[in-house]
Amino acid sequence: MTSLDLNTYVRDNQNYLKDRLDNSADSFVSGDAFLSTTSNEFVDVDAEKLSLTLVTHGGDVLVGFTGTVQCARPSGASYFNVAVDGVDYVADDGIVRDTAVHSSGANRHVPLSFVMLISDLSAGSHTFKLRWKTSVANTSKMDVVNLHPQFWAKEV
Amino acid sequence: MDIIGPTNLNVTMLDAVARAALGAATCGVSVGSGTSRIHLMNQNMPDQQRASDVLNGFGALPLACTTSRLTVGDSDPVISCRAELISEDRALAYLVMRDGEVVERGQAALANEAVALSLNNLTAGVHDVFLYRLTGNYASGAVRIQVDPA
Repeated sequence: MTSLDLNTYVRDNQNYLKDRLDNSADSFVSGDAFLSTTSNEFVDVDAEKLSLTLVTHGGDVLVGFTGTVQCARPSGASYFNVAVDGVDYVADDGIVRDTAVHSSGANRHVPLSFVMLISDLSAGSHTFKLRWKTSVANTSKMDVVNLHPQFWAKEV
Repeated sequence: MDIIGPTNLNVTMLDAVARAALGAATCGVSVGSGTSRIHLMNQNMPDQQRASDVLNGFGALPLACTTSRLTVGDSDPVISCRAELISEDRALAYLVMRDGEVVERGQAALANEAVALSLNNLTAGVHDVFLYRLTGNYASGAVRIQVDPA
């Protein structure tokens, strides 16, 4: 066995196994006005700033979000989902529901954080978009002026 | 599909006029990052045109108000609109928001080709009054009235 063999079959393999875990993408969002929606069907929260592209080696991907949400109505609800390659990953009302049930709950800041596992993605380029919808007659808002939500994806 | 306007509009006002114009053809609107979007449930050309009219006509309705600032207990302010644009309309819809929350909505009938909407017994706060057409190009407009405590 030569040093060339060691480099090729040991070092390079180790580097590959390490490097392939390092692929990730993330976005912090800032703006001069809150993001808001009245949509009762899932729509992009921000089609550009909350859209990630990740080139994977194939396998599982973790996707996470941390931000702060408001509802214009005290009992209003915000629902969140993630679209993978343009398709909502979870059916019905999505992944998580955020509600500020409080007597003075209108426009109350409510922190929201979730992590989800996207399983068995094929190798190649994939897009991940944060999606939301709101309950009837409500407006859901996300503070991106004073607070800066993070959306991320990491191959595991 | 989305019909997109180039500025951040008031989301509650835009939602009101979009739902009036499009009914079940829209699931709502979104605002942020310098754009306003009307979400359509289909790709019908008439609905796309109507959504574009809503965005293009936002703020196009000329409104006047007897005062922009008053104190609780003062005489009621009157918002009026007289324009050739609405001369054939039967009524305009309106939405009253106080400090960002909807407190009243309804329709105001036209008389002599104009609308005069009187707001009664206002309480302290910033009132945004939004009027919008229910037909034609769905033009809309808004005025702001500051009401100070007595």
